[in-house]
Amino acid sequence: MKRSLVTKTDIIAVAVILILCLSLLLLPSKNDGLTAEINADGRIQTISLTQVTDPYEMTVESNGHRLILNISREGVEIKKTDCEDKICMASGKLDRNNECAVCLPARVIIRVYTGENKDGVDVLL
Amino acid sequence: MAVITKKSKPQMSFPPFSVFKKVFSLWISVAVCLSFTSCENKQVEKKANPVFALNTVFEQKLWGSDDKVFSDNVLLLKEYEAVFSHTFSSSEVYGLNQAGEGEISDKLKKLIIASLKASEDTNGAFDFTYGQLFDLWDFEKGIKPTETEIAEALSQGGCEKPTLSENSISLNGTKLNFGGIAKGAAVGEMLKNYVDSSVKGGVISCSSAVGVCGSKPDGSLFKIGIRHPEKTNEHLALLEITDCLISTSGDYERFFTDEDGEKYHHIIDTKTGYPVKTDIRSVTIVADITGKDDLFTLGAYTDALSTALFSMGMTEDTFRLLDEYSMEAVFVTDTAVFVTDGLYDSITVTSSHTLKKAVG
Repeated sequence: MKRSLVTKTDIIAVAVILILCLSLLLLPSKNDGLTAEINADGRIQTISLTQVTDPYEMTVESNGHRLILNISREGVEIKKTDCEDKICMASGKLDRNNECAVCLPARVIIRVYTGENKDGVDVLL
Repeated sequence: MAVITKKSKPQMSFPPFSVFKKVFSLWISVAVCLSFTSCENKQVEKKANPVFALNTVFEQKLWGSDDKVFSDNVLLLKEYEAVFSHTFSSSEVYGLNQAGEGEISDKLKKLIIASLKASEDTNGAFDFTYGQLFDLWDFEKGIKPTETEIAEALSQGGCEKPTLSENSISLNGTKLNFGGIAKGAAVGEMLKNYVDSSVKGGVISCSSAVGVCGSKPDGSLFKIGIRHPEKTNEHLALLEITDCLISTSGDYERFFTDEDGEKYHHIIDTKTGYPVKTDIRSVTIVADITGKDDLFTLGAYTDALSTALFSMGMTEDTFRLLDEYSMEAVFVTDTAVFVTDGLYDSITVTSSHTLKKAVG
């Protein structure tokens, strides 16, 4: 009988360790999560979506229009708008880096991005 | 280390391999241990849910402390909203403005005292007693008041009119509006809570005011971007600072453009009743908190001065005031960034603006 150099337990042990190492490597980037930036006619608000525990609705009033957003840990979705064209709603749920939705009548730009900062700036005043 | 104890099955592998295995598993163990310790050493950034109060959104983040201070500050904002808001119909100020006189809380008295001093010191360039005038201008709906309305509202304000003794005040026809001072006071008091709970580093921000203390986990200072007046989601300069309160007033914050294309911004000149006419696009005021205890009042002054100096421009009085209050300033025009001496080494211009020293 040929003796195996590597036993089943070895493979499992190595696999477990590798998975452990990989998950440790991936953990911090997962924590970075998404940040949503809501620009309502120049008034900018950023929301760290990782901090959102329960999804909530947010009303944005801008340029005589009203938008209702659904803010959740996973992303931002425009649920309702009272503008005529409703183009922004076609963007669906913004849940990936640099996804963007624009409502021209309300002059609202919503963007989501990963990481805490774009260029290490803590606050824009 | 469990892998090393696999020695119990020696017959399964050749001696060289078992050596290799030991070395390999040792390295893995070391790597795993190291990655754990690096996680522990890393100070986790904690961020609070944004709070809507005083017509703006307050955001908080900190490192190296438990985040109990977040909920303290949320309560504080709720309290301030219930006292200082002039739009919230159940607030103390709203009630006082309706009644015209009455007993006031200690918190309101404190802000009134700071507001009166700032109004007097700036010769009315900041004046919180023109509630009627400020109410006439609606920047969200883009409503421009008529000349008659403005003339009437102008006659009603004046910081010399209210009379305050102990905790009772008579407004004498004025209406109080803390829109240009309460946010700064709130950020100041919130930062005081950060300092008192000895956070390693923290940032508190709302639309026009910021407070920073300590440092980031890597020991670096905070980067505060000064908004570009035209490209308002970009910065035109960066301040690298800490342990200070900062307030900005700019013509791009709230404004509307009428049918003739004329722009009306939200900083109203209490002499004319119309938006301040100036070459300045924004003013940022920075106050050092080192050794200061009353950050509520200090924050109030930075906020009031940013409004006042926007109106005053870079005049002799401006530099005298900055000197008196021991504050630094950044003035932004269409082409240049003017910085007072104390901030000159902390600023980096990130746009095509020219950096200049602001001198009286």
